Amino acid sequence: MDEVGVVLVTGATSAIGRAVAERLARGGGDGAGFDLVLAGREVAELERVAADLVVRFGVSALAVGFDAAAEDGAEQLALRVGEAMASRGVETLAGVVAVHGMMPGQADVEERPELMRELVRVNFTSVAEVVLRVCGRVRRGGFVCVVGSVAGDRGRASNFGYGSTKAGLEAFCSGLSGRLLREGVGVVLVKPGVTDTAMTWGVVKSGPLMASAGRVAADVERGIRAGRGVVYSPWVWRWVMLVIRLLPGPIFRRMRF
Amino acid sequence: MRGMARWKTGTFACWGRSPVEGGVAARPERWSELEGALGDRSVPTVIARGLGRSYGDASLSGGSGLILTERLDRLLSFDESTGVLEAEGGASLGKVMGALLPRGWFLPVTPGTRFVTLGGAVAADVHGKNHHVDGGFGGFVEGLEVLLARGGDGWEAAWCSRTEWPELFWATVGGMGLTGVIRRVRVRMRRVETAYMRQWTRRTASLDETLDVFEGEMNRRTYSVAWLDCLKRGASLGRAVVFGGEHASAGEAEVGGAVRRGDGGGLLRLPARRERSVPVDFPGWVLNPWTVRGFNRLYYGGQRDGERVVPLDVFFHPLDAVGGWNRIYGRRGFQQYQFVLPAEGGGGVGVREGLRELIDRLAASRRGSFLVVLKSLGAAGGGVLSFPRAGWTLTLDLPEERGLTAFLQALDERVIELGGRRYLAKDASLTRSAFERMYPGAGGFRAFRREVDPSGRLASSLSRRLGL
Repeated sequence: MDEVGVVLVTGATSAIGRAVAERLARGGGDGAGFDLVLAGREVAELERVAADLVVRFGVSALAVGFDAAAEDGAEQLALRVGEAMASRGVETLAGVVAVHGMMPGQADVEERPELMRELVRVNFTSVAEVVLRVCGRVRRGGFVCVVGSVAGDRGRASNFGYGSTKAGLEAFCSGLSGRLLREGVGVVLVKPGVTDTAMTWGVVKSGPLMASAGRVAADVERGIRAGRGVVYSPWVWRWVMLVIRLLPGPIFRRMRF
Repeated sequence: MRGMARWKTGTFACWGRSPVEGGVAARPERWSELEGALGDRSVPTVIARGLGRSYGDASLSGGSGLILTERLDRLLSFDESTGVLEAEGGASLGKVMGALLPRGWFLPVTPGTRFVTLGGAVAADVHGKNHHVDGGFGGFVEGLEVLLARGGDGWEAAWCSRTEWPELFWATVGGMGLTGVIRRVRVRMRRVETAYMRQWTRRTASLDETLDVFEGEMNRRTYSVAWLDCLKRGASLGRAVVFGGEHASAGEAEVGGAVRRGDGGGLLRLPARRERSVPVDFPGWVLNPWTVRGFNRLYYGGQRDGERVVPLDVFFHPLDAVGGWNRIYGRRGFQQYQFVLPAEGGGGVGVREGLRELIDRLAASRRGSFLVVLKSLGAAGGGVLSFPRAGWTLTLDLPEERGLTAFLQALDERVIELGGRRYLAKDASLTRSAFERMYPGAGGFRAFRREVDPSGRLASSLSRRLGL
């Protein structure tokens, strides 16, 4: 079990979280997959995700409760991860993938600005705190991967509550990447565009750019293997966002999208 | 956000692409989201939908709610000593095959496609090429967890099996999703040694010869099926290519040319199969009596008698290699007509005569397509609305066109006279009156539905059409 390693995945009941966990458990051509610690709010649901990976890939998968909205949520998770590792005699983690997040409607956020507190905590603060608490346990050659969003590249009028929290993750990962250089741990920020999950179901119209959770997971895997800094998922968003970032302010403000 | 139901408005169709209906769909990824969708009173009725491989309107809601179960597809446990798998209802047969075949386990019953969910396989009580020996899917189900709408907003989870609340079990097996949402399924898998089959092929020149080959030779095998040329009349009526199959042992597979995979897969890995897909809807004129006749001649002519070893997916799921094959029928879509005639005959007519008559009528109409399957069915299972019964079942695709429904309804009347019935999973045009006469269990099913779903929360376009 130690040879391949243990990876912590947060937000593991979400479509992207599940797809990432599946990729990690499946392993590459060499056959062996990672063992997993799956963190999220609904433990019973996590146990079903875990069971599926155990049946299909024969890896070990543990479900751990984690409430990103709670003030001490990240601290509690770090403790539980430590306990899980100790009970398995595992010294280091092979990696961490932080997938958890929420996307309330922009209209709701404007109507009830207090939602920003939860939004910032869940999407930004808890991610940053979990990663900081746990990255010290990641082995040399391991990885820290954070799932951001293209919405963080430039705040749009239709989605800036959510977008701004994801923007924070970019600066965080960029700095962390430099900080962990000498520890030999790679930091990857994956930025999905519109993805077909429960988060967008019935809210965002599917279009040609809509990606599957599996696609994002494949890009997470790519990013981890390559040790790349930022990965857009799918890659076409890199160019789309480049154009969007370059639009002059007066023009961008008037765009309705 | 947790548990809140999100509905997406859209238009939906099943595999026959006819009818097409509007509706709203929820696609829960968690049990809490499923409960949220089921409890959402703003949507008057709901019906579960797996991969939408039924042909007519079984998983359409006529403007109301669909619960897409495809993301509740996890395998929860597998017991190597008993071969019992427990999984969520949305798990596809393909996913189950992929996970368990490398470990030497296969589906006990599989229909012609692996793109069917466990819940769907139970709800339609699907049958496979081994029905004459093993019966239908329901026979291998050890237990079901069904979410029942007990009135009000509440839904209650109930386990049922042959011994635990058997009334619910046998109403749900073949019950077209109308008793409740099948959340978990326990199914007993079959042990296999390799991912290969021994396949026997025999060409026949007439209906009598076809049925004789089944009875005399192929039905002794575990799996048997025939592809029938449905455009032939007269002496060649019912000419067919009959196939028989058995799971191949390691020795048999290797002798037959299977290559043992060096990567540890051994003989339990399927060789890679070239998958194609139909990229566009074919225009209506592509499928017509001349092209179909041409295809039939080529296909029939191309088959050779004999025995060979083929991979499982080629034997069981040949059409899965062609993605979106239903697009061959164009935008109008098609209806699939499947009926069974009882072995003992009916209406004073022997079963062979009855088959001959119906095939001749279909051939004369020139409506049929090239996909016609003849299968020998064994005894009926216990599902109240289950389709199979001992006899012969014929399945045809008929391109949708003016007068088709009336034609099929007239055929239904003759099928009823001959003692037979239609398969609901394929049906889009059965009338309520014909249905009542085909399924004597309908009244009892209706009464039971009222018991477990008093407010009628579960409904589909099929249930509305058939007055269930």
